[in-house]
Amino acid sequence: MATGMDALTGGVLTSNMTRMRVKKGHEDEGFLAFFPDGFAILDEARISMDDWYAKVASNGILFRV
Amino acid sequence: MKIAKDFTKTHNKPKGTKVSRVPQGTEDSTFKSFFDGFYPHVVEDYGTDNSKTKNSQDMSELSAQAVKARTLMFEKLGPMDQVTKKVYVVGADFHELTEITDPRENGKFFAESCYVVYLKSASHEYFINW
Repeated sequence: MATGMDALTGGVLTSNMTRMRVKKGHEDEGFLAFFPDGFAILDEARISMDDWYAKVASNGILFRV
Repeated sequence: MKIAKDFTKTHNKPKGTKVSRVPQGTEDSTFKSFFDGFYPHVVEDYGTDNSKTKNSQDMSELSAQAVKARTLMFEKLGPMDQVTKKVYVVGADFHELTEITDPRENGKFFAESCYVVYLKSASHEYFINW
């Protein structure tokens, strides 16, 4: 995963940069604070939002809280 | 490892679910960060049964550390309204990052993909891998 971050920073890591890892399903309050409108994990492969909303409109959706 | 692999199968976890092993007693900060009240080894004292007291002390200390770490993060970033947030989805080859621009996808994370949340303030940058 560091490879992805390297792509973002151009391989540079300075003292004013911090890299962190948050495990799926273990998001802490600090992380969630950056998503004030809500945070949802969709248990499937990524699709476009148009497709996702169409799928939800036809099949419905079940959230586990 | 077999138990973990069986667990992912029996509980229908996503096919990309990773299994890693952390030897007992060498838990790193990343591992501990997943447990709000993570407590380290309790020193055995066969004279008195004070393990419960010690555990609760350790838990409260570590809980305080987690709060401290969170506070430090917000201190480094400064005021929230001055923090720029970008979310990238990581490609299958782990090299290509695609920025998520659709506002409807804000806060929606697909479990079978990996993401990088990039937070930038005037003084600090955070790269959070999810």
